[in-house]
Amino acid sequence: MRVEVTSLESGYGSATVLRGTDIRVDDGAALAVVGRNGMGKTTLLRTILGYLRPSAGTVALDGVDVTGWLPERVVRRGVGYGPQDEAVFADLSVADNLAASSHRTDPRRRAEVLDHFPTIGQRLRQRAGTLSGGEQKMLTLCRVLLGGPRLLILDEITDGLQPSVVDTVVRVLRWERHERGTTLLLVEQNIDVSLAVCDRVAVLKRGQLIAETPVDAPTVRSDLFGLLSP
Amino acid sequence: MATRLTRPNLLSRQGRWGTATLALVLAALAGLGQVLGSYDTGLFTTAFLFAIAATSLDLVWGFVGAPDLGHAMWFGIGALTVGAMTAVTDRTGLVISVHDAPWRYAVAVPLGMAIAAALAGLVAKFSFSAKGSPFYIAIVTLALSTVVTTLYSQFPRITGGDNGLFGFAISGVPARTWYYLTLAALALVVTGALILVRSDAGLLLRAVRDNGSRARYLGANVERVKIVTFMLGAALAAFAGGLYGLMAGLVSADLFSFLFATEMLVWVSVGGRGTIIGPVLGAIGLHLAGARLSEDFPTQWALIEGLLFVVVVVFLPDGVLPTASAWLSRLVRRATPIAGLVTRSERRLTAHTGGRPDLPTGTPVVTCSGVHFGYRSLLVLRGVELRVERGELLCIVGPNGAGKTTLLSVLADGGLPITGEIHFDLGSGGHGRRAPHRLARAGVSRKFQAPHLFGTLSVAETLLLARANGRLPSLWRRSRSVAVGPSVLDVVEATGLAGRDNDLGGTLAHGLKQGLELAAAVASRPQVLLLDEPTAGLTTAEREVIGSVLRRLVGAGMTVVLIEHDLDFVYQVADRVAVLHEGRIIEQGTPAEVANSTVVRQAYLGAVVP
Repeated sequence: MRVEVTSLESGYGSATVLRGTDIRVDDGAALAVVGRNGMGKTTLLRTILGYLRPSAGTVALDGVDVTGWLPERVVRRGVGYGPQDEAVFADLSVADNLAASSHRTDPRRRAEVLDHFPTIGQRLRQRAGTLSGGEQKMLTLCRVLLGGPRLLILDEITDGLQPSVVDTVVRVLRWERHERGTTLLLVEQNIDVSLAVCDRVAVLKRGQLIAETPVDAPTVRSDLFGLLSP
Repeated sequence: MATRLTRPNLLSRQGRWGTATLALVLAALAGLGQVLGSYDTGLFTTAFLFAIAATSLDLVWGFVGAPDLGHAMWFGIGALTVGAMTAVTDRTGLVISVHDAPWRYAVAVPLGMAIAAALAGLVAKFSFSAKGSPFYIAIVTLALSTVVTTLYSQFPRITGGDNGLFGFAISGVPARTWYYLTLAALALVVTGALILVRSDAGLLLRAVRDNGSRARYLGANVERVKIVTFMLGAALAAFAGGLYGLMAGLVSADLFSFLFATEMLVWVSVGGRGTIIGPVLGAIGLHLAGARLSEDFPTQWALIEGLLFVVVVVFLPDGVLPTASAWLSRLVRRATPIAGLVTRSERRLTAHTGGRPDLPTGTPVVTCSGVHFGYRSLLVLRGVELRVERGELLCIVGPNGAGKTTLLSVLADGGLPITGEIHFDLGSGGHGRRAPHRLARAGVSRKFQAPHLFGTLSVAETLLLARANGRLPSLWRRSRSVAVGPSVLDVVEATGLAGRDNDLGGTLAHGLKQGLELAAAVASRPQVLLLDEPTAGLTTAEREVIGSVLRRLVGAGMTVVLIEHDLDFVYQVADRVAVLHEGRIIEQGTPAEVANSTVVRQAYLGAVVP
């Protein structure tokens, strides 16, 4: 799914966070958005998804202008969103959380996803609120994947995950891209993950895109390190 | 995932605007007293007393977040004490004469306040508990107000029964004198309340309201703050009730009723909860409007008032005053006045780290033996053996779900039921587990994995509260800045919080909240710092800064226990690493030793281990 964000301005009340942001992700491509805290990464994702109404600019998915749509309508076009925190239904069981993703989950896909994250498979009857922070992240990702999205938007999904699970996430996301042609838009602080999964990295600063680079540029790491220093 | 954030409480933040409004209103009312007719004078006098009651409810509901649905009770107790002290009744409760000795009147008002405060203390003691739901107080006060109105008619000798007591007003005081007396009383109460809520201690009230469970870990005795505020609210309402008794010489079950209590709730929410001045204007405005309109529309007024309440709740959820002042400040385009700036303290580093360089390093600070803990049937910790030594940086690593966060929780919260033994030695004699606020005061502070700070406190205000670490901040002074040590400033800068001193906690981006959590934990100058994923959401460059800050703190004698998944970071900062797996410490040693552990390899390198 192609994502085109043009001159987007958005924020909370009188506080403008995005100040004319332009982002483009081609169908099947993967973009990582990085930046220091408070620069507007989450605001960008939330505006694309319709949780926030932009004060200017447009969001288009596959050429359809979805600016100002409600989140449920955006999501129904085939967008999967894994938010940063409080993303599970704490009082539902793990199994019910997974069921909440979609009403037509393919059992084969469910088995496939749970195969990647055995911890979740072992805890299907547990209340989701009692999972540890990292396990809740895994559950969030599993739930989003079960929806079979064509565009996957993930906010700091590897935050708090043990390294081997981070590796799994990388593997799963690469597989999603290459086998299913899923488009990825990630906000990801873990540079290794961004470089392994995406083909471009965009740096956001004070609500504007200040740099965009392909991940195979020779100086990408040192450039990013410099741009993201305090 | 609320997108709507509570608007900053403009009147308690924008001091000058509020004070100017208040002074203007008081001056206008003082002038008005000279021209009003006798009917209106009486009307205003009652309105002022109701305004005091509204202020007292705002302290309780608006500032510590306890919805008192029976606040009329306290007002009634004040009035009844005056009545019971002076009116003489026959067996059926009919007033037959009045003892009008001046001392009876003089004693009755403070006595009523004391009775109300004592009863409120009792109610609060049972309603506010660490494990209780915040709704207890609403249910308890609602039930009590029903019980009290029923009881009222059961004791006619004291209360006058169904007719109530009457005719005991203090004699010989002209209406205009009452007007100025009650106006003065209102001015006194409102000024006192404003000074309190704008003081540094007012931050404590707001912190308790915004997030009581988090405030505990900054050393706040949340229950005590709520109980004391609740008692203060009851005493002030009884004060207003007492004056009403002296002036009107009238008390009946109506003054205790849920209906009257509801009216108070309407004044507060229409005027603007949490602003002190709003409820005052709400009480005066609605009382006057009610008196006027109920003449013309005797039956419809209650309906109009109800509709007004609904309209305000739906369209101006913050109340009329905060909305109006937000418009005003947008018109005037004035920057928010400084509510606190983070500045570098001139004192020496050690004075600000809280480490105890006077105590020998290498001695145990925290010792866990055989610690078991679970959530209902789910056993998380299965016999943790761990010794943390003074002046070391211990990293706890382990797979997701191993029990790392739970381990920090049982260390920091003595209320969680464990089996096994946890012992602290913080330099003032050893002790076992303690409630979070007591442990925080003793020198153990905690940063949570998911950031939950105080929505209506700014960055600087949060740090001010963290620095106080349980000591009661000044009840009248309002700090203009907060001095913090270089370590806190480094955290502030590294996490991107620099220049956001006045941003409210609720409006910060996720990563900035994480930064503030960490800064607050360091600012409380603990001996032991418990950190759950301190680098979450930070870039590599920012992590390095945090790492060096932590090393410096440890160098100054602080003990740090941190949970972390980023092994590069662990190798960079840790003195010692403990591996937690399935609720047990299965390995500990230097970073190099632990790196070869099977579980670490399984969890971190993804190697398959049977």
